[in-house]
Amino acid sequence: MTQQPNQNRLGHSWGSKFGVIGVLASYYLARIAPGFAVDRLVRALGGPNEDSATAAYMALVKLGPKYADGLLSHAKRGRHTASIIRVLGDLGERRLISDLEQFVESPDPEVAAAARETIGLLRAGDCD
Amino acid sequence: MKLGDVRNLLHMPPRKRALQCLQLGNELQQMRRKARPKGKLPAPLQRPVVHDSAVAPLIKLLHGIKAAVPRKVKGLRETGRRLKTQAGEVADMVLTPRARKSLIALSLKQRKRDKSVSDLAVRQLAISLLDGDPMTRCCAAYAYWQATGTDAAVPILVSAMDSGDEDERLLAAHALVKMGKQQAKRLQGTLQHDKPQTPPQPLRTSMTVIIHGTFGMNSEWYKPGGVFHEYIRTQVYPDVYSGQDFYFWSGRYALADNQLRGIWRQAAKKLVSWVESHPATTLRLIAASHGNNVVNMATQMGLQACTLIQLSPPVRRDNLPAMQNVSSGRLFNIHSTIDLVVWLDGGFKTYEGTSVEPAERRRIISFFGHSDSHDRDLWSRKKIPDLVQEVCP
Repeated sequence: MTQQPNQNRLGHSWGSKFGVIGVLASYYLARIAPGFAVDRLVRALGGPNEDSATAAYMALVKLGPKYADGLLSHAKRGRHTASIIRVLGDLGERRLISDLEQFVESPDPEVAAAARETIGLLRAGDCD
Repeated sequence: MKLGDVRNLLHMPPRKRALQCLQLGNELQQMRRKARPKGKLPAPLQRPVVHDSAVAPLIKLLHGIKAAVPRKVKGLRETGRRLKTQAGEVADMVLTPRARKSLIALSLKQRKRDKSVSDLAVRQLAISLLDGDPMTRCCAAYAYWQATGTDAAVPILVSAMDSGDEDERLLAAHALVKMGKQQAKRLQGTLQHDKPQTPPQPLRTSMTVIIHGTFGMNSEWYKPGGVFHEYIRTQVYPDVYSGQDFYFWSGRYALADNQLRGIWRQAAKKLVSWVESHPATTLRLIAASHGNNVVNMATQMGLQACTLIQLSPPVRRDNLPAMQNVSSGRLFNIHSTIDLVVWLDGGFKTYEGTSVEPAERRRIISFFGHSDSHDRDLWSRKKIPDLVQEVCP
């Protein structure tokens, strides 16, 4: 486990607790103020807090493909690109394949790997 | 089997020939009792297949018997591919339509050489291995394997997997899967991280495997050398798997239930295959979050474990573990009082109200938090090792 910097001796990470609550709030807020909320979720996605990152990842997938373009622009700006690419893969948005191809040549190996995997996934139409 | 069935191969159009080959193969498989030894022609082919043609050496090569194929032969044309036979690599050749017809007609004329119609059918299938129609050829290759039990047709099917025609590739892959040949995996389209990782290893007395959850593939805690992994290795189960080829899955998530189940199914298949290649008499599985749904699905697929230690599992009532495959009959559920990640997912925190409830031992590790269930300090404080070591020590 990655130890959080704000963990006290009892192992309770209060930052983590507030972080998850913030993510949940953003998830619900995304329905009325998508711009701000998605921005908050993207920040949590790449943050150091494991619970917040997991919750943000699940929330972004649950919000569905309508936010895919917004996520792509975050990825293009270089914000937590690899994680966002994975979310885009889970959203199943095949129309984004051509946009994702630019990341295949990324100097960051994690981004390049995520892009390759996601493009493969979208091309294969990976579903049950 | 009637003589007419065999005769029909002579005049049928390609697609019907393909079907006819499969039918002959099915019938011959029922008659065949045991596999032919390698490097030996089936009895009907031990006599010359067809006089004065290159078909005989080509078929010998396919059977792993060394034979020289003349460079240019009338009635045969090169496909441009190569066949990797056990007796060496050779240019792939097929019969021209005219040559195919004349060979079949000739072998029907020379019927006296064959003791029965089934011998004649094997001979026709052997000729169809060089049929110019790729689909018929693939079907004949599969039928020939059914009829004789030899791997002679494998090079043809492997070569067909490089074809530009998708139907041909898929037919070849399907045939190879049915034959249990590894080459078909090339077309299975599995993701890099869902491919088998290592060759089989020797049987261990016991083994503990730690499995990550959603979005957790790149986390460090579950990997050898990670904080929780080290804690388990030094304080709880020294047999926790510490090789660099540790198990992991995609950690992906999906909105649609069927897609989510598809992700878990792929990961569960990989887990079953990983455990098969890392066998142990006693197997303990420690999984976090949706890693537990992967484990549950793996038990449904027949994975045998001694105990399941589930850390913050998002319980789905439609994906319960198959407890008959958990030899201790015990499942530990380590979770928090409030778990917003599980809440967001829409699952339940426990197996309460399900058939698994009697087997479940719960322990609350903290008031609030999802990843607290793999926090080494909380494990020590809450004496989780004492709890889980009650079974499968």
